[in-house]
Amino acid sequence: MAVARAVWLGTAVIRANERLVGGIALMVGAMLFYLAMLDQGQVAELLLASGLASGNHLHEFFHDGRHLGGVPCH
Amino acid sequence: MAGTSAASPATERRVVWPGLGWLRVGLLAGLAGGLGAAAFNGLLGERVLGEAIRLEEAGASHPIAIGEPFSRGEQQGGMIVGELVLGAGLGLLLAGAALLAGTGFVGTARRAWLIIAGTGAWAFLALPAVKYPALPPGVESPLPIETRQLSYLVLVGAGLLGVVLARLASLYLRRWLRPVAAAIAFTLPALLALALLPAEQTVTAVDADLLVRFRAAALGSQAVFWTLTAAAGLWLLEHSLGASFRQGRGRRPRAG
Repeated sequence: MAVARAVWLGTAVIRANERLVGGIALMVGAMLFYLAMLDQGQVAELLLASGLASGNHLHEFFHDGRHLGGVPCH
Repeated sequence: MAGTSAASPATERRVVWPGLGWLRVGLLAGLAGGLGAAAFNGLLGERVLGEAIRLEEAGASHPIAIGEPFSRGEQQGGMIVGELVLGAGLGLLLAGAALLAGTGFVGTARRAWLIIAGTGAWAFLALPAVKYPALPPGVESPLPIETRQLSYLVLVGAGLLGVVLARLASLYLRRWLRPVAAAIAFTLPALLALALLPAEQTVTAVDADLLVRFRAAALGSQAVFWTLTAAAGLWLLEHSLGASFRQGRGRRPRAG
């Protein structure tokens, strides 16, 4: 009985862990998709305050990939 | 996960649910797809894209005096980096979807991967290609970029929502209601999005032939991406996760 309970608890913990990691993977994946395919200079604006970047460079750098990836580019 | 067994030679090649191994499968499969798409673009797509850009620059009404920050060569390098970033991103999205859905929702590992990758191709490739087919540089849409990006994302979301709803219907409904409700749940969000989102209307095509070739190149690139991603994921599920993930002969599948 105690063993069954421990096993049940163990699988429950593993499952919760998988869901948590899955959620993080979704967020990181969405961020990468945004950077490569959607950003129109917003990230640069964020970095502008710190003086690291300016302009729409991300968009221009990924320009070809966006067009050929069928994503709205400009 | 690791304690499954010291597997006897896996003659059946059944693959158990990989758990956190999904991250590796998704990431590597997505990178493989991105690499394949970059190669396809390098061989075919970039040529058509370059033609479109030359045509755009020749049309003097639109002088390119804005000061491009990158040369064409750099942008072609950016294409390769972009496809890899995209591959990693979509791969992580697929892995995250598998982990969040769990085996109870999407079935055993290989089936789950095919369903999830197929859903990705449906939502990210097929639906946008119908409503907003790819535009080459120099061909402007009458819609502002913000509207098109938002519409694109709504379309992707509608595709994903349809699959989730259809799966819920097939899990919880019985008898004749099951296929009917699943079919409606699958198509309704996509049809609504296709009907209600703003149309792109007449795009002033500079060169109709070039437009067709560019769209074929873009579709080909994305088809290569999704096919390779799906195939690489299947291969990885069987080969990359170590013996403990493979189901030995005569064992019952661990997950239902």
